Amino acid sequence: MGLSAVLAVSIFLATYVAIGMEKINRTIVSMSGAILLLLVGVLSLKEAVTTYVHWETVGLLFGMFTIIAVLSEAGFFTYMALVVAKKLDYNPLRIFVVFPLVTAFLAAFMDSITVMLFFATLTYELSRLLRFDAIPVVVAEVCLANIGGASTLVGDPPNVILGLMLGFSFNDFVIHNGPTAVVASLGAIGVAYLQSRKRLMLGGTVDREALLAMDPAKAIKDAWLFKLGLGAFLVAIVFLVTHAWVERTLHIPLTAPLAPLIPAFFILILGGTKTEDILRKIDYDVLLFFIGLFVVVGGLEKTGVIKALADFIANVFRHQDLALVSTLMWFSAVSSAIVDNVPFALSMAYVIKNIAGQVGVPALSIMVWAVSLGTDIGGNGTPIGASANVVAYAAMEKHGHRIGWPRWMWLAIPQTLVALLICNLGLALKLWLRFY
Amino acid sequence: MRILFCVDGSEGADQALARGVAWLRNAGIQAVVLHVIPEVDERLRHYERLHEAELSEIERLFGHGGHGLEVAIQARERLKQLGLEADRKVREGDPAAEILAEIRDGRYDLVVLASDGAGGVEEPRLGSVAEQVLRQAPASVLVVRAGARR
Repeated sequence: MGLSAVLAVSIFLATYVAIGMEKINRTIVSMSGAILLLLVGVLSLKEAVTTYVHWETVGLLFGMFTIIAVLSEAGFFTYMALVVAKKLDYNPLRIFVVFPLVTAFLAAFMDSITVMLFFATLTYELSRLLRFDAIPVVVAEVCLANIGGASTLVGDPPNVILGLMLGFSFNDFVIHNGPTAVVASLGAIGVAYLQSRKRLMLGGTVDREALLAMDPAKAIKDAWLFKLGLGAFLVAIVFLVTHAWVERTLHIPLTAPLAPLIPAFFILILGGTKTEDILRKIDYDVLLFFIGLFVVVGGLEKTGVIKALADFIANVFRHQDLALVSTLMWFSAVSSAIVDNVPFALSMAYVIKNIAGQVGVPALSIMVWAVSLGTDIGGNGTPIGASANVVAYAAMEKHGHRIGWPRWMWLAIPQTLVALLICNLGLALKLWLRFY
Repeated sequence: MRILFCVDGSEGADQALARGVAWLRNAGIQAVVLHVIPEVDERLRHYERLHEAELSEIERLFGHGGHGLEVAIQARERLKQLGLEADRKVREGDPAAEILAEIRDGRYDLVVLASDGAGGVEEPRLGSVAEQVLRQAPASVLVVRAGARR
């Protein structure tokens, strides 16, 4: 291993460990790692910016964040939760089953952190009036949000990275990961229900009157913005579904990142006085975090470290497709429960791309589905496995419900294991049917 | 006699109020209810800042002015029902450190709190906050066992 490779590996590991320790803001860590890599000369600034920072991923995330910021500003999430709770007649057991399914659905198309920030808060508020234990509900919501996120290209940042870097479309994810994620979601909520249904109610006086008097429509802060946000969101989804066809047939370069960017800029133009507020809500920290990581992982790719790792994996698993695919999924799942899943997915994108070029290994697509399912779902296992977990855990703590690691793991691990087993079976079935 | 009641919205804290009052009624008490809002993860703070107005809207819809204040207000009402007038205080930070700081600042004679609080599962152990307060408080501490009948 040359000096450049040693430096690239050292900076990557230091960045990875510092992100995991959470003592310093992770955006500062990733940008520091990137700057250090440039300073020691592993990459030039031009190389970093033009070759390794994947601007399509940054653009797609910016577009989605803008649309979600508008929906949040308009009161969409509160409205959605209150409408669903009302339809369920404020029945805690029904809320326990349906709210996580709603978070799974929303997180398939939106940033799961924002979805969980609102749903954890609203679940706590409903639990206070309806006297049920909010903790199993919130843990199930997080688990299902992460499983739901696996089903589309835009559902979870690892999917955006894997999909855009390796050339898989929104429809590819829906067709291949979608059915698996739906079955895994049903399996996980089934486990959650069996675990906690008997211990859900806390006793005490239920204040249903206050809820019955509440009009969900009052949650909409700005009707114009609400319609604009929802319209933009639907346009983005339509563009994501049709962009490959439009590019191929109509020869219009409507790439995946442009699908949310076009409606996003439309609403920024039409947002009037609200545009400033919307721009302030966009999570620029995450975008910078990604840019720094692209450079740090780019150092590993340039120096041949990833190629060496890929060669090693390909040699161990040559002509053992199911073993390789299953190992990729479980390794991704365990790693994501322990360390941040974004740098992991980014490294794995390069690793499986390098594996796919070799003889006697499965197609790149099935490896993408394996890494994506493992990375997205494995994070459920611990309170720090994914950003949505961290936010929901801390939101509950703030409201006086400290979940604690043991209780989180006791609730989340069985749901996660069942979901991952379903995914593993799904991947085996795909290999058998040669449908990937 | 000045007494500090530490609450966090849990069943245990509610029981601590009831037991504390039952034992100490009519003893010339000057009571204060304290709720410490725990320090939250920086990532939650970040997202709360991004969606601050919408989260405040949820609190408004559900008819309260923030969880910390709500817990302290409810606890004060509970004490009133039990026959004891009290002031309320809300602090933010590490619960044990803030309770200890309040005990020192307010020169309390007695502190009442639950053995394990909102995070407590159904296991009969001393919570970390109760343990730290018990060890370090410069005042007498009445730790009421959650779920205890007396």
